[in-house]
Amino acid sequence: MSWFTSRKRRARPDDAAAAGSAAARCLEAAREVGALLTRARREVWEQVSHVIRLSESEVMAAARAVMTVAEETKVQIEHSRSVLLGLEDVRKGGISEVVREQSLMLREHVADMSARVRTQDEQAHDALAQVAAIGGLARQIAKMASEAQLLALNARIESARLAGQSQGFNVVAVEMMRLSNEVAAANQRVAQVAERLSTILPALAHGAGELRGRVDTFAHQASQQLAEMDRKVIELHSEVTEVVRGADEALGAVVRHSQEALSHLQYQDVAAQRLRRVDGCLHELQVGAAQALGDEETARAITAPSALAQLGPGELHGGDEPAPNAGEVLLF
Amino acid sequence: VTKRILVVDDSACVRQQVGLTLKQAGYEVVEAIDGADGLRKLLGGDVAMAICDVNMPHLDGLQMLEAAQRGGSSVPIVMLTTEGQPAMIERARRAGARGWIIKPFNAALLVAAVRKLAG
Repeated sequence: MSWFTSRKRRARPDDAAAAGSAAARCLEAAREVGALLTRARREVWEQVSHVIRLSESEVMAAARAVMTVAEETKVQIEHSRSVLLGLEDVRKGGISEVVREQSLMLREHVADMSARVRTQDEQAHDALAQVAAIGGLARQIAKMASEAQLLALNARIESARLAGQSQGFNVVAVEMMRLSNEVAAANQRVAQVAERLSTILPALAHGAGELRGRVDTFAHQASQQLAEMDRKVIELHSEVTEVVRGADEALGAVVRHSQEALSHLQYQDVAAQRLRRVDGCLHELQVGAAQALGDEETARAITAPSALAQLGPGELHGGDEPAPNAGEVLLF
Repeated sequence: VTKRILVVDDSACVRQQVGLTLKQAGYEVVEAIDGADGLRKLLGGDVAMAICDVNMPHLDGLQMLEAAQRGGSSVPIVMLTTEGQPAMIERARRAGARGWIIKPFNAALLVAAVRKLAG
């Protein structure tokens, strides 16, 4: 037996009074705790009400604003996209085809012009050869006219020698002389024309050749310009495709961000439900404290929490299995 | 044909957020303000699927789910709630729920679930 137990003293009246006083202080403290719990619950409910008000008005307004922005952005991007796709259609079915058709027509036209110039060039050379041939013939005719004149002169001499006996022969000689002179005059005119042609036709041939060179140069330049236009059209197509892709990405980002913004707004509702749960816990604590103090009347008078916050046995802690995370989707 | 999705939640804020998300995904949305309203619209209307809160006045989500099963409805119902207790999830699964989504929901996952169940 220890010293402490051997020296156990009898209880005195002062001790009972002290115990009673301590119990009274405990009871008072418990009541203060109860009052604190009541104030805490009131505060919680004020917060709940505030959150609910936010949920029902400001959050909804915010959600509407977010969606309005998203919808307007969507409309603008869709419009831009349709415009750009319209350009793309023009490229596919319009500009490109027109450029191609014009290119083909121009090339055909240039080829036709080139062929015509070539033909004219050949004809000029041919005409030059014909003029040379005419010159040769004129010289032959001049020689023949000269011989005919000589023959007519001899005929007149012979006619004079046989004077009076060959009057008819003299007439023939005179006519031959006249005809020979006319042929010589006509031949001289032909020779003059041939000479003039022989000076004009080389100039004409030179002009045709120069024209042909210009047409070829033009055809070459036109071909280069058409190739450049084709390249520009391809570049435009590439840029339009890039812009359309950018517009699609921007639209996707707007939709994604607006959905994320809406997801964040849900926390107001989640917070309200969590606060209701806190109130449920405080209610249990308050009732338990009153019952522990034997104050059944107070326990009954404590305001019950919202029906939404009442939890079944074990539901507060969720049992042994881990609860799923926020946002998680379980499909059965 | 645009499919109609029934959204049952006592919070107008949540109804609007779910509704806008689904409308953006191309669905038509019908709203119900509690379990009783939801059950009436589920049994009486042409809906492809229902998304239902759990904690609601008058008739909670699980009660509505059980009543819909008793009423012979074959419309897929997915619960959308802050609750995550496995016992509650199991109760919903046994009552015929096709899914359970924890708030706050992820829009992309919600739409994916709706596409899987409603088409």
